Amino acid sequence: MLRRPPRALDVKFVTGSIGDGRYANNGWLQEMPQPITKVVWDNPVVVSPATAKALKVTPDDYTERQEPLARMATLSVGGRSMQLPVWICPGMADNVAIVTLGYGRETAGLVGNGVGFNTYGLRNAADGAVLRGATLEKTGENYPISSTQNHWSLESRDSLVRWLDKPAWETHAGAAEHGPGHGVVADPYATSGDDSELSVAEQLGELTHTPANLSLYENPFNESRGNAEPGSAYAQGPQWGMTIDLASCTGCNACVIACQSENNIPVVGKKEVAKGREMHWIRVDRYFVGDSLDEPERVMNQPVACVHCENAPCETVCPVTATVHDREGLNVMAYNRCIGTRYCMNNCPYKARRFNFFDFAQAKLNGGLDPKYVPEGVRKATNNAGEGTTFNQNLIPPRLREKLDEIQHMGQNPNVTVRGRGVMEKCTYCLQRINSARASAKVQGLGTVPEGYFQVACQQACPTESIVFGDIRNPESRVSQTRQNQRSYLLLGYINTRPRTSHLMRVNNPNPAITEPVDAIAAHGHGGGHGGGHDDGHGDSQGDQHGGESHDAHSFRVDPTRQIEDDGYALSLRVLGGNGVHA
Amino acid sequence: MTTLHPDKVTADRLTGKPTSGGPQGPHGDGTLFEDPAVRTPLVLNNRSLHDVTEIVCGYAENSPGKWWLPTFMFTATVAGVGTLMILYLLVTGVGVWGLNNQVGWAWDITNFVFWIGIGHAGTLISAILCLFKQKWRTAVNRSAEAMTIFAVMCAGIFPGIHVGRIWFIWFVFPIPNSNAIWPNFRSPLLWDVFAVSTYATVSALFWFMGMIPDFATLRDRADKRLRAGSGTSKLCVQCPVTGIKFFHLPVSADGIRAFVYGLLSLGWRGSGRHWHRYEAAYLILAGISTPLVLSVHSIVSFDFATSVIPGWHTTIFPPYFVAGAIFGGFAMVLFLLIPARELFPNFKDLLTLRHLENMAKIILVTGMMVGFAYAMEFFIAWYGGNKFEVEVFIQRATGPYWWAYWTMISCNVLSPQVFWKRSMRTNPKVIWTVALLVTIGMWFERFVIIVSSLNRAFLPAEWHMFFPTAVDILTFVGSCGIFMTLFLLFLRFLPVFPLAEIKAVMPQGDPHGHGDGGDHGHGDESHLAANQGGGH
Ligand code: SF4
Ligand code: SF4
Repeated sequence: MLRRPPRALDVKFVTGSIGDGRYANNGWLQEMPQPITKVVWDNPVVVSPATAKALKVTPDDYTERQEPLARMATLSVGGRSMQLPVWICPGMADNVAIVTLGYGRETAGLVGNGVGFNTYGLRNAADGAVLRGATLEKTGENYPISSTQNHWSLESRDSLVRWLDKPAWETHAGAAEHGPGHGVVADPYATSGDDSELSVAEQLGELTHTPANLSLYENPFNESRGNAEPGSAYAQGPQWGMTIDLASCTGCNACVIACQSENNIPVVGKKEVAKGREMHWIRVDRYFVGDSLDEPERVMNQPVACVHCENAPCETVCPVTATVHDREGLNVMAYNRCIGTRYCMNNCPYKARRFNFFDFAQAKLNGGLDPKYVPEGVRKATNNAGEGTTFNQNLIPPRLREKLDEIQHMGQNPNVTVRGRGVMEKCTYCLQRINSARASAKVQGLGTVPEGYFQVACQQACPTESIVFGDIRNPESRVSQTRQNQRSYLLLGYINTRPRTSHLMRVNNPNPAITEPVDAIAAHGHGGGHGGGHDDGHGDSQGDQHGGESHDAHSFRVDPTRQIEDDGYALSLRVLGGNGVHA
Repeated sequence: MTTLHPDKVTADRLTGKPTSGGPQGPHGDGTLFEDPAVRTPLVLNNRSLHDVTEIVCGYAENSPGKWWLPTFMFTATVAGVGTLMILYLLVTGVGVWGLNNQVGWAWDITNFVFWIGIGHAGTLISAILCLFKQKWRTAVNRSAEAMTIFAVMCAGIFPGIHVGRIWFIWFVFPIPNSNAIWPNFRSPLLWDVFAVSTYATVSALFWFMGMIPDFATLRDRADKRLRAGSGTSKLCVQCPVTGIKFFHLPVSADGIRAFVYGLLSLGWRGSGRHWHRYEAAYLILAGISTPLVLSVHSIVSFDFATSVIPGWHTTIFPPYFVAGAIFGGFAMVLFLLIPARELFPNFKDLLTLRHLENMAKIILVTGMMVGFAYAMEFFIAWYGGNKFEVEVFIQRATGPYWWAYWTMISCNVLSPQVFWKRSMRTNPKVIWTVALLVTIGMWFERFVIIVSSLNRAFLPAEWHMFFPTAVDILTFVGSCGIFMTLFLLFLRFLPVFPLAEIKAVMPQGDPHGHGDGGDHGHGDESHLAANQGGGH
C-alpha cells in the first residue's frame, strides 16, 4: 500500500489488440474488451488502484451518460507530456503506468480514425519499452471510458469460478479415485446424495454456499438430457456439449473474435458498449479474487456463453416459443419468430443473451452508431449510415433502407442469418457448423458425425485448447471425458438449469515460498459435512474459521455477511430434513 | 320537476345556496358519529332525490369552471408528447430507452405493473365491495371504475411498445396460422395477455353497463329541454376577450347530448323489466370481476415469481402484488377525487369525509400488508440460506439503488402510518399528501423489484446499471398525461356518480324510514333505486 503519492512512476509501453496501430481500422479488435481491464475503443493509462488513490485519479462512478468516468491526467516523461485518461487495474505493481500504443490514428480509416489517444508522442524511437521518472498529474477533467465489465470483484461468490491449490487437489482427486466415482463422475447432473458422487469441483461449490441442487419434483419436460435413457428421443443422435477449462484459459479473447466473425455479430460502438449493449456471444468474465481489491491474489478468467441449459429458463418464459430446444440438446433461437420481449434475457441466469436494441447489423460500420469516431472528411466520402452521419438509418423502415453493397455482403458468413433490429440472439453452439458436418458425414457414409469431425469457432480459435466441444453421449469423445473430470462443475448448477457447457476448475500450483497452499475442502471440515458442522454448535464461530487452520492465505474472501448466511443455511438444511443433505 | 331551468338550479348551488339541516355528524362533514348506534349519512345536507340528479347531471351538462380547459390542454399536451415518444421509439428501436443486455426491463414494465395496479381499486370497489354490500362504495365506484379503464389503457401501452418488433406482436395471440405455431402457453407473459385483456373487457363492460341508466337520464333531460325550446341555441365559439361569437355550428349542445347519450343509453326506458335485468347483470359482472381483482395482479406477479432471478423468484409475490395494487389503486382514487371534491360544486355532499376516511383505512391496512411483504422478502432470503438471494436484498437496501428502495419504504410503509390518528384520516389535505406519496412509492416498488434484481443478478461480471433516458421519462410522463386527459373528459362529460345507487343509500331509499341511510341492509334498496333512479 502506498502511503503518499509516488514521486516518479515507471512507464511501460505496450501494444494491445490493434497492435502498433496497424489494425486500428478493425471494428472487431477495437471493440474487443482488453484482457483484464475490459476497456474498449480506448487506451487509457493503467495504474494500480493504490497508485490511483495516491494520485487522486481513481475513476469516478457511473455518470448519467452511463459511462464510467476516468480522470484526465497529464503524463510527463522525459520532457514530453500528454493528457490521458487514467484507468485502474487491481493486481498491478504500484508506481507503474502502462501506456498502450497504436491508438489515436488520424488516417486509419472509417473505424479507427480518432479512436483513443496517440501515445507515440511520449516516446522516441531510441527509447525502450520502459521509461523512468514519469509524473502523472490530475487535470481536473473527466473522460468517459467504456468497458464491458464494470465490476471487479467476485463478491465472495466463490462458487462461480472455482480453484484449488495443487496439493489439495491431489489429496481430494486422489481420494476420489478410490471412491464410488472412480475418478470420474458418473452423472454431472447428480442432484443430491453423497459428496463422493460429486466431482471435487462440485464439492467445492457446496462449500461456498451454493445451495445443493435439490428438487422436490421431477420436471416432466426434463427428457432432453445428456444422460437420456436409451429409446428416448434424445438418445437417437449426438447430444452436444462443451467444456471450458479455466486452468488453461489465458483470457486472450481469441474465442470472442472467432465467434464474432463466424456468427456475423455486429460491432456496436463505444456508446452502446457503455450502455451495456455489446453483442459478443461469448465473453470472458474477469474476476479479481483475494481479500482486498487493492492487492488481489489472482485474476480469474471465465469464458461464458450460452451454456445450453437442458432446463432452459429462457425457453419457458418466451411468449411466442421463439427459443426452443432441438433434438440434439441445443437451445435454439428462431429469429423470425422473436418479437423481442427480452423476457428470456432477464431470466437467463448467465446473462448470455444479446438484444439488437437498434439495427446494429445493418448500420454500416463506422464505429457502430457512434458518430464521434467518424471525422468529417471520411463521412463525406462515404454514404455510410450510422446515427448522426447522414441520417439515422433506424428511422428508415428496414425494407426501404439502402441495401448493403456487395463487399459488405461478402463480409458476412453466408451460413448465418444477419439479425435485424428487435431480435434476441445468443450462442448457437455454431449450429451452422453442426448442420454442415451432419450433412457431409451423411454424404461420406459415416452415419452420425464422428468425434473430432468438426470444431466450433471458439474451440477452433482457442490457442490453449481450453474449449472442447462434442457429443456428450459418446463415452469416447473428448468432451465426455473432460465433462466427467473431477475438475468439472456446472456453473450455477444449483438452479437446476442442467447446463450442457461445464467449466473445469482451475488448479493452481503456488510456489510455497510465496504463498502457502490452502486446502479449502479440508478447511471446511470435510468429514462432518458443512451443514452438519453448523448444527453441531459452530454457529457462533466465524463461518470460515472452523477447522482451526491459518487463514492468512485463504483462497476465499472472508465476507462479513457470511456469518448471517451460515445461520440461515444451517436452519434451512434442518428444515429440509436434517443435516445429511450432502454430508 | 322544478319550474326553474336545471342549469339555473346548478347555478344557484354554485353561488352557495345549499339546503341545510339533517344529520351531519359531530363535525358536520360526514365523519363518524361518536355514538356507534348511529351512522353518518352517506349523502349530506338533506338532499332530495331530485337534488342528487341535478347535481350529478349538472357536472355533465355545465362547464365545470375556468380551471378545466387549461388543465385539459396541459394534460393533452403531455399526452401528445408521450405519443410522440412512443412513435419515436417504434421507428428507431427499443434502444432509445436506457435498457441494456443485463437489465432488459426497466421503466417499461415498471409502468405496466404500476398502471395495472392503479386499476385495482376500481374493480375492488365495484365488485367486492358490492358483493359485501358496502354502501359507501356508491359514491366512488363510478369514478374508480373509470380510473380502472383508463389505467388499464395506459398499462396496455407498455407491454405493447416494449417489444423489439411490434409489427409481430400478433404472435402472442392464439390465432390459427399456416405455420401451425401457437404461442407458448407456459410463458407468464402470455398469461398476462389473457389476464389483462379479460380484465380490460370485464371492467369496461361493468363501467359502461352501470352508466346506461344515467345516460338515459342525461338523454331525457336534454330531450326535455329541446322540446321545451330552452336548449336550442346553436353551438359556437365565443372569443374570451371580445365576447364575439363565431364559428356557428348547425347543432345545439342539447341536440348533441340527446343524440350521443341516446346512443349510449341503448334504448333504456327505465321499465321494471329493464331494472330487473340490469340488477341481474350487475350482480353477474360483480361476480365475474371478483376473482379478477385477485387474479390479474397475481398473474402479473408470475412474470417475476416464476423466473429464476434472485429477488424475483419468490412465492410471496401474488398476495403481495394484489395487496400492493389495491393499496396503490385507492391512493390514486383519493389523489384524484380530493381535488375534484374541491373543484366541483356540491361534490362534498356526495363524497363525504366518511368516504375518505374509509378509504384511508384501506390504505392503512394494505400499506401494512405490503410492509409485511417487504419484511418477509428479507426474512425468507436469509432463511433460505441462498447466497445470491441474500445478496440481492442486501444490495437492494444498500447498493446503487438504495435511494429507490428507501423511497419505497418511506412512502409505502411509513407515510400511511399517520392514518392511525383519526384527525389525520379525516383531513383531506393529509389524505391527499399520503395518497401522492403512496402513488410515488408504488411506482418505486415496481422499479425496485425489476431493476434492482436484474442489475444484481447471479454473475457479478454482468452487473450493469440502468439509467433512464429522456425518452424513458417522457414516455411515462406521457402515459400520466393520457390518463389524466381521459379522466378529465370523464369528469366533464359522463355521469360521475351512479344516480340510482346513490339514491338507494339515501334515507328516502329506506322503506322502513330509519332515516340514517345506514346499515340495515334489507337487500331491497335496489328495487327502490329502480323506482326512483329512473323516474324523473
Ligand atoms: S444459458 Fe441462458 S440463453 Fe442459454 S439456454 Fe441457458 S438460460 Fe437460455
Ligand atoms: S480463446 Fe481460449 S484461452 Fe482465449 S479466452 Fe477463449 S477460452 Fe480463454
